[in-house]
Amino acid sequence: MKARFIKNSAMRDLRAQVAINLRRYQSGDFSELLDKANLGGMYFELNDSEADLDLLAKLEGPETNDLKEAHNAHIVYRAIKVTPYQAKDERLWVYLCHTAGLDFIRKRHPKIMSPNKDEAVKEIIQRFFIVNGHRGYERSNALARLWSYGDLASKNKGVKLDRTLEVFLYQTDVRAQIIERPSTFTNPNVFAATMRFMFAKYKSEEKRKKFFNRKEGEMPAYRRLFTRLNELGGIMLLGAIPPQDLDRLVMSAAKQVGAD
Amino acid sequence: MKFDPQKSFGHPVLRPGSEDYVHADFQSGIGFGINEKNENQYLLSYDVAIGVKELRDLITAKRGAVQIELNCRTTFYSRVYEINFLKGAVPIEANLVRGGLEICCYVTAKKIIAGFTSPKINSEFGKGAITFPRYAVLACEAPIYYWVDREAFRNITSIFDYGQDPELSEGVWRLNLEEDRVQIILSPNQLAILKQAQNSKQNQAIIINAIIFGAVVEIVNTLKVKNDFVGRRWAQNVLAKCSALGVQLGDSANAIDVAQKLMSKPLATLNSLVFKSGDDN
Repeated sequence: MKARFIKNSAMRDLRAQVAINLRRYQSGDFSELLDKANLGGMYFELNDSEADLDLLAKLEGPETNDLKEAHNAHIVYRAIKVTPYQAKDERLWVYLCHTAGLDFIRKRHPKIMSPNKDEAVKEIIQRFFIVNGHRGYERSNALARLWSYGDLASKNKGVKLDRTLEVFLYQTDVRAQIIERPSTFTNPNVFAATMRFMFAKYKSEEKRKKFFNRKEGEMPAYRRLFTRLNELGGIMLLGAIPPQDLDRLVMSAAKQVGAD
Repeated sequence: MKFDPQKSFGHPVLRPGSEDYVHADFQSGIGFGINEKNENQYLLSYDVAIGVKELRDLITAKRGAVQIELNCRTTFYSRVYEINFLKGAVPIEANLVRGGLEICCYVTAKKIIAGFTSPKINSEFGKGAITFPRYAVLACEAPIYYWVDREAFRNITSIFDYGQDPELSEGVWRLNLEEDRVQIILSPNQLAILKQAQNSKQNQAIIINAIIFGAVVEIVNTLKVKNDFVGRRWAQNVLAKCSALGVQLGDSANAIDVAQKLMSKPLATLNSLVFKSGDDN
């Protein structure tokens, strides 16, 4: 089916009535509210978009220490086929979060179920709506953030998406460090070269520990590498460098900061 | 790459605000707008002027290249375009970018460049020849920022809807700014008259000048003083259109001037379609 976008007026109403609708968020659903759409009102569809709700139903909640981030990002990115322009429309995610994503969000973000009403409302606003601009899409909204990871990982051409996501999302801080350095890592060539370097580290148990793990009182190797790449991006136009030379540059940067 | 005129590259870089080269400028003449031939694309236009002959020679010899970097933080889109001519335009798919765009023009070294000299290099770099490392930045301009939203390039009339109020008398209208589209509220009779009238271009020009223009002036005045409506779709559209046109909505903005810019001189449309359309005799 085509992706649905909630209408602005309906979105404003939902946002204003989170506390009133608390029970719906915690154990009910919004079908009664959003089904009005069929009578001509609460959402619209865009022709050049697609939402595979069967695939979205495969989203998984956390298990012990595994948040299933890579699996879920893979699902959301494949299920929601929209352009980057459409993906930065709050209305898309608000509709999905209040419909197909509702069960998953309860499992993944259990603060929504908090008996403390204020805490629950705060969490719902973060996870079901877009707050704080870019951060809302990349960090907070329960589904938009997963799509954003899939979109970024898809820039690593020639490598299977799930494989890139596995390494990119292996550690929360690695992902955060990359996303928070947009001037360096938005360029697909730079991102791909960095991912190739990280794959090599990820493959070996020993190298993986050395590169990804934190030691007390020491900046992790990946952070040192990203900081160095950021510095190099301040004096070179990294995005203009061909892939093979970028691989060499990343390797050399890693050596310079002891992250090789 | 963040632009900083004080940054030290270890070699001279032609850029504004820096004295690495004396009496020499680097200008990119960047422009950004909808592609008139394809509404699904933007056109990034450029007209690059490099005030150092020796740098221009490097480009001619393919040892240096002019590159334009486009970054869209919102969609995480980034691309570097190597351009072969100093003047031209590149198309950008509209569905890849949204919100703030940062565009910056560079000249970079395609290979190691040894023995570079220019009489315009600041004497602080010494009199000897300079070697540029491969991929070094040789010139850059301060970034230029654009705010893009596809709706900003639609006709301003797209933000309006008609609504009805039976309490209103014929010949009277008012505005409702509370919805995602601005509603022009009319009596049912008046609305019927307007809808009938819209069938001719001449009448459309009259409606645009008699009603829409007044509405846009009111909208501009409202956006100048109130933030209450910024979340509304119509307000985002108007703000994006102002940004695209380089119009500031500060206290000193004249709403009549702004409205005329947003509507591309509506009186001129009236002139051509109504006042001058008939036989002058």
